Amino acid sequence: MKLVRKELVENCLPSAPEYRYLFSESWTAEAIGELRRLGRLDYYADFPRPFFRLRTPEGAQLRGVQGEPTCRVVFPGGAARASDDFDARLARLLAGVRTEQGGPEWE
Amino acid sequence: MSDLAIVEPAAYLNNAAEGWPRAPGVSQAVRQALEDWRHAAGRSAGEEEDPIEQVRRTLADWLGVSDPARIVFAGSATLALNLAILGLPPERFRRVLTTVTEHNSVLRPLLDAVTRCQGQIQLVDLDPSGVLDREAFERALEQKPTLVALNHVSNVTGQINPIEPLLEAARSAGAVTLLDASQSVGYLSLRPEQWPLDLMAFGGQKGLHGPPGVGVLYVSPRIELQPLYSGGSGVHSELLRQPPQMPLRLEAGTANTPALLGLQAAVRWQAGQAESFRARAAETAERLRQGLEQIPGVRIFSPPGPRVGVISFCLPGWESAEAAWVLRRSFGVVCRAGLHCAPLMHKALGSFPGGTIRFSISGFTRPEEVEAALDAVRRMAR
Repeated sequence: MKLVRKELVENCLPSAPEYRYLFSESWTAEAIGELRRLGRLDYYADFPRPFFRLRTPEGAQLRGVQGEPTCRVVFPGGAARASDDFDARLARLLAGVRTEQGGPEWE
Repeated sequence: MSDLAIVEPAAYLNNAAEGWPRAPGVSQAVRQALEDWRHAAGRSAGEEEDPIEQVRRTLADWLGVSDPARIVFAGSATLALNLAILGLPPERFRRVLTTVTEHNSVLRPLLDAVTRCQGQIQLVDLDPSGVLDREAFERALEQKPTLVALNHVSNVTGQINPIEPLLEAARSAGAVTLLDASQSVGYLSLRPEQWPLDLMAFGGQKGLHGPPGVGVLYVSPRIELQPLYSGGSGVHSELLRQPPQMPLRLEAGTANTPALLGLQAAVRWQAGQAESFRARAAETAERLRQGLEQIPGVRIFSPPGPRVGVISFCLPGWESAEAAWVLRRSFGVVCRAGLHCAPLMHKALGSFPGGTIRFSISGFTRPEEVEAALDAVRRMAR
């Protein structure tokens, strides 16, 4: 599971910058579980489409929905270095995740 | 890249931003306008009647405006409000009175104009109960404002401002009066000629359930606005300046005929359905509000008094933006979160900077949509 693309998302709040991440494959329960290695994971398995939220000790917040190949990530303070560090750790973590389903087709 | 294409909505509760579904006849009118060559012929092309002037008459009839030339079309409510505010003479910005309930479509052009003209702007706050402070408004009128800009309905709480007495008092104080009817159109009767107002604006895509890309500005005969832009008008091409007569004075360039014909269809539908549409909307809003009130922990920003179907709330443990995202992605409930382009209202309500989750219904909202939304909030609140 690889990070394919990352883009800034505008919203109407004066909050930290929010990014949309696109991955090569959709989030599975296994991949979501791996996130525990990066911080505190909340997993709402009883939602119609299970929701997960990761909070790292450095303050980064990642949220996503199981079965989708995207997630949203917020970096309080918006520091570019924090973003790069997080991306590198996330990439290493997900590189070892094997999912059964194939990746979605993207235009 | 989009992550919004997968889940079909279980509930569409974003009508304060854009009314959906479109009113019956709107899509057909837009399509017909795009496909019928006569609508592309334009002014002075030998057609018996300009379709845009028919739309103007439809709007004038519906609003009770005796002279259709006082109805101006723009690309959106925001552009209509800019035409109204920035077209006023500089002396009108010497002392401006407005309220914390306003949308940025009013606040930003007002601040631009006041700054440019070195004027002053005064804001009326909410009273402790959360409604517009009438006493503060009346006290502010003693300062003889030159322009008073008022919101008919808050896009955050759905609260209806008592505009007739407020506008009457403002006019008596000598002010030019501007009403932002963006959230009231379709839900409340608009009677600009019967009310003491000079300017009123709204868009086509909210309560009218018409197409986006069209705004309407009423300009009373008391007011002469300066055009913000000039150019082709299709008539009086011998003039080197924008023709002075209304509405051409404020309508340079090719009109968005498909959107205008869609707006006409929406207004015609609305004219025949207003009472039942509004009754259904009120009933649905009440059911939604009562349901939210029964969910432990939900904090509703709900002032007393009359209101339309716009409900802002917070959910403990969830930031508003995240909650709206989860509602959409996990539950298929389409809503809006954040500051809703009304930052001063959120400061007044105490919901700044995080904002609120906003559910906004319409007369088209089905009971099962309300139940789906309430079920989602209940499960998130556990």
